[in-house]
Amino acid sequence: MWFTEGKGDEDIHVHHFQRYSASHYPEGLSGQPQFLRTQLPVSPISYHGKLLRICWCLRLRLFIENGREIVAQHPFVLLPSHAPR
Amino acid sequence: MPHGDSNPFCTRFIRPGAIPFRFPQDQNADDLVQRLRAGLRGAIVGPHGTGKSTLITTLMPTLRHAFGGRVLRQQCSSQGRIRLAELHRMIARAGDGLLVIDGFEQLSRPQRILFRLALARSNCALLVTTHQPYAWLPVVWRTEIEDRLALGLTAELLVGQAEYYQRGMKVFQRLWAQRRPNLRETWFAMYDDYFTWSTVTHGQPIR
Repeated sequence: MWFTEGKGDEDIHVHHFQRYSASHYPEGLSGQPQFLRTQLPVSPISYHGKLLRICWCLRLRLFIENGREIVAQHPFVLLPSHAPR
Repeated sequence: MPHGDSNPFCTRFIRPGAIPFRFPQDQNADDLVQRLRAGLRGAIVGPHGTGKSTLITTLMPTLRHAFGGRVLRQQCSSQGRIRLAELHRMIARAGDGLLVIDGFEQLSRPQRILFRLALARSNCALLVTTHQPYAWLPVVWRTEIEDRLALGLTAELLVGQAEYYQRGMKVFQRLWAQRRPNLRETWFAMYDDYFTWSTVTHGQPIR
């Protein structure tokens, strides 16, 4: 997903969404790595300006039985393929 | 609370409602709503950036409860003036509920007069935010921000910004002295300072 932040209005877009129910993990989450695959679009690319930032991230939302939820977010940078690495 | 490498003064963290309104110790939302229910008309009055919209956002659950869920909120801004016909429709839709207008002073004087006449023919209650009081609208709250509160809220925004904290608080005191009582404008200026600092400290941003 990407979101904008800065001084003005904000925007957000979910590029890829995947839901896992408890049945996917009959033995619970054991700390093993989970894998996710998606093809990222060509735009919008990550941008960090003074008034606006476009931030890409992987966001994990964990719904717990008692109604609580945990949100974790891992940022990454999306660059055009010709950009220097 | 801001986190990660986000600017702690970006819209997400300082927009109305992002930080709940802080009532003085001897007052709460119920007191204000009771005053409104007693007269069915009320105004929240205060200068720019002193928490009027934040107060409305914080009050909404209490207002919905007090008016049986029939609460409509309309934002008026200088960019896009709302048409009177739209306000008439809202009065009709609110029925015997409550109409909340944020930024009432943005309506022109003729609009306010016509709106008042339309409202008089309805059972609708009204709560507005405005910069200046109007004789026909009892003031149910005046927003003001004491220095201590402004400093405390800024310190909360800077939690987790260990590197910037000391500089941030120092800069805030200087900017607040110039812009008091407009906290929103002061935080916008803080946004610029944080951007400059982070660019110098952590290098050029991604472009």
